[in-house]
Amino acid sequence: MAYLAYLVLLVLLTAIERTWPGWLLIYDQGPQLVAAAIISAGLCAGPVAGCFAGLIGALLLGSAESAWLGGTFFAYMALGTVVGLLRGTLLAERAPMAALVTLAAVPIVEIIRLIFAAPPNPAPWVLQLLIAAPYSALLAMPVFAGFHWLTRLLAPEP
Amino acid sequence: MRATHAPAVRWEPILAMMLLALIFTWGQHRARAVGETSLPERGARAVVWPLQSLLVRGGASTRTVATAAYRGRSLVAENQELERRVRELEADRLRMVSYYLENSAMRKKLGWAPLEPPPAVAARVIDWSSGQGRKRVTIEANRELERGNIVRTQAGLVGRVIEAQGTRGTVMLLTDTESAVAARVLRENGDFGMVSAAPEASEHMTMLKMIPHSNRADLRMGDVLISSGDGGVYPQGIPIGFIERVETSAVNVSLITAYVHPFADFEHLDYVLVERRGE
Repeated sequence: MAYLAYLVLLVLLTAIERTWPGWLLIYDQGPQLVAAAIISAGLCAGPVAGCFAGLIGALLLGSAESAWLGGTFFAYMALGTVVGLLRGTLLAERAPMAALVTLAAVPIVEIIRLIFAAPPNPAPWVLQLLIAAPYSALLAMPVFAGFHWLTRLLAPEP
Repeated sequence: MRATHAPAVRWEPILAMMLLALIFTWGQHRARAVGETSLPERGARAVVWPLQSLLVRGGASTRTVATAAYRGRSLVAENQELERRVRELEADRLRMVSYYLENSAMRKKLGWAPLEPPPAVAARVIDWSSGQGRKRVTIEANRELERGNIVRTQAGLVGRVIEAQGTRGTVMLLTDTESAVAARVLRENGDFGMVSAAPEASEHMTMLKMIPHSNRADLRMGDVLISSGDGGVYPQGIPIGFIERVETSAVNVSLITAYVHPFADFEHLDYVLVERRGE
């Protein structure tokens, strides 16, 4: 049941990320809500849920933007699984922890995706990354709150 | 430093999901090799795209209401200005109709086939995808889209539909680094060439570039470029842009590049027109 709820949240966050209003973009860059959702799922429910969120998030985001799925799957599923291993550690159930992990994870995910599809010009990519990481980290807190509430309500894993 | 004892990790479902991801990736590569879209991608889009469409519509309505509430007084002046503009456009339209009738009469006298306006349909842009040289948008029309449909604005060519799913489709813009269109200069004996994205010149504004087929091409500032129809991807005669500057390579003087300012405003694509190829 919790996985179904995660799926619905991921669909909603993918649609919001892809239609982020122009006036909220910073240098044409919006937040990576799907990455924040995967991290939240991992922190709240463990590596299996994190990997599941990575699988679904990558499929939804990759399909919506007509991207190659291989690199996106690898980056997001690895992110969800690794972050899931942090579940149960000190502060893992605190929203600022989700923000900190997102701040670190967004550049790592983008670097992994970079290996699969290199940009023609690295300068805008670096600028976008510098904006996307803190922007996503800031919005990771409400995203985490949503996932945390759902997990407590439906408790997918012991 | 653990607050509670973490349960042992179950790796079997993780490995199963990784296997599923591999199958999806393999399916995508197989489908793209034959110009199709894989089933998982179609399923994901069938879920996400309608929601995106809803959010775009909702966002536009909210913006309208917020703007009206914030700038109530200035909207009256803006409305008057728009009414004046509508009257001007109506006068332009009547002038165009008279030209069209005159053209039709001349074609009839010459024995040429009558000129039918292309039945383009309007489509709303519901998704923007950029980065790493990719410049694509997702559009939603009120009729079924097909792969290869030509997308333009009233001003000029925008791109073509590369993936279609019902009334929604992905458009590869002319500014995408994978895009190219056969073009010609709109002049008597105008030169032919290929127009593609110019990311190296697009730091402040969107630019395209034309590489002429001939190394003795006569390209001039202000020349208007239209699609030539060569290659059969785009029909001929669609305006693309005008030449802003012409550069000759310092190494090889026969290498000419014309930088083109596109007529279509790629920064503000909210609505576009979709034509079937050949229409």
